[in-house]
Amino acid sequence: MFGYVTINRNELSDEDFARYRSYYCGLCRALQKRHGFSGQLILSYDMVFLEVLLTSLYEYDSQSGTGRCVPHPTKTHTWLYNAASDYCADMSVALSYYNLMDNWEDDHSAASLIMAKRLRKRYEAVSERYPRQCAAIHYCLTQLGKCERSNCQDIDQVSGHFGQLMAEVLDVRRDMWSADLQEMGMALGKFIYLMDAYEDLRKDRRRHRYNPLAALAQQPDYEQQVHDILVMLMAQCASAFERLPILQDASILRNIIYSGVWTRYTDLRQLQQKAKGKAGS
Amino acid sequence: MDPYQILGVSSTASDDDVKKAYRQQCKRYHPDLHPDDPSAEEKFKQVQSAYEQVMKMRQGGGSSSGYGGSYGGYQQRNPYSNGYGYGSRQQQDDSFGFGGFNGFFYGPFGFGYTTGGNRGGSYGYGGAYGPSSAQDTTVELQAARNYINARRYREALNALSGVAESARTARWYYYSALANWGLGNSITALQHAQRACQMEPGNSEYQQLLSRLQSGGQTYQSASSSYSTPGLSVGRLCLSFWLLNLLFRCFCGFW
Repeated sequence: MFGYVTINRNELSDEDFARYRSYYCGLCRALQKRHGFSGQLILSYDMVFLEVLLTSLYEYDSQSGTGRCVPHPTKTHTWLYNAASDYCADMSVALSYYNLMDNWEDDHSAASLIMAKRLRKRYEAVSERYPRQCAAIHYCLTQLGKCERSNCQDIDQVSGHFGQLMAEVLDVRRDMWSADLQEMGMALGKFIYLMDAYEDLRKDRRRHRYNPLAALAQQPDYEQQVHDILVMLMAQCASAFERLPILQDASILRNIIYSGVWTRYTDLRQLQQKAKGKAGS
Repeated sequence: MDPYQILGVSSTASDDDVKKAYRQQCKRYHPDLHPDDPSAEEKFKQVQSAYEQVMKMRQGGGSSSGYGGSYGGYQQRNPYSNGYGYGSRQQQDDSFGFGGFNGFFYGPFGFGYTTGGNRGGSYGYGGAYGPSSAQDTTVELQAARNYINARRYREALNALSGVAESARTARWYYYSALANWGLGNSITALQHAQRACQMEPGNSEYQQLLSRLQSGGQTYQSASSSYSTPGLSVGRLCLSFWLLNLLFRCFCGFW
């Protein structure tokens, strides 16, 4: 995953930060327990967000504990572990598996194939457990691949495929929260996909690769348009979020939705300004 | 019955209080706790739908598409939200045309902001529904308007696609924005609404649509601005894994 859905540390209280961290460690633990070392490697902030969201919405009972882990043998960490950790660990595997296979098919990256092979068995188990989600991931990424090959510049359509994927992943239970979770997922998925396209635009151009924003980038007000689109998407996501009866850890989730998701964007804009300043002087 | 009464809170309660009340009532009437009492299950269902209704009302009625919403908890925390007219519930209900949720996934077009629509009474609070017909000079535009009024957005887009690119007027972009919004193509909707406004800057109908599409963004941004700018200083939660992950990304060209 991309890791765009993260926290704004400066605005998170120490207490909330410790809690976020224990979610993070909990997911890492779940990945390791269920999927081994290769599982741990695919840990991402996006999935930690999902873990916090689902825990808060369904108020799962969490186990917590402290432990040491291989990367930090000297320090102890607190972890929080519940049903959402397991679910997010499984979804991480499914998403990573397809992404690695994609990389292999597109670039013949041998490392991707090796990693994908290590994950295959895990993935098969996950797809038995969550056939709907895995079918949706497969379908949406296939559609995305088609769009990329045909150089599709319909931003809604392309990003919508990724949005659909996230919508299915967020919608764990198909229950009364489905509509809101799906809407959050759709908006968040589009946001993530377009953030990634925005970040990669120059690189893709240099390498003559597909980028969904290529056509938009020709327009003089490109930066403003991208900004407006991203804001609109996060506003949609936030609006659906506010309809959910979430109380527990709401401050962490709001920190992510209203601020943390802009971390990378702000960085990129600052880098651009600096580059411009240099070019000007 | 008044949904607020079912939840046991006043209509001026904050969103968080509504959520708290909802959680409490759910625990109280959860069918698992009263396996032999059918009235508990009935009550439980009432609580569910009351909560849903209250949330929809607070976010401006029938739209689940996210516009015109007040961002719950931010009403207390965020000093800006009053500036956008979300301060009073009463005012909110009136200004949004739609009273209650009407079961459409995307349905914020009514808004009650135009006159001359032909389905007015059936959707709004007396506000007429749908775009006005005065400027529909071509068959395609007329057809598009009718389809949009009937919420058949895909057909509306089909009708619109019959117009050659060079012949696309501000009106065309306006209808296209409405139809795309209905289909969930929010980005195209935003772009086309902007285009319509650029082509005909004085048109208040287009302007209203655009500000409607952007209003969610404004509320969101004012909530966002209460946080300091996020930047490079994101704490690495786990340095070793961050490094491993970086290596991994380099090798696998991973996301």
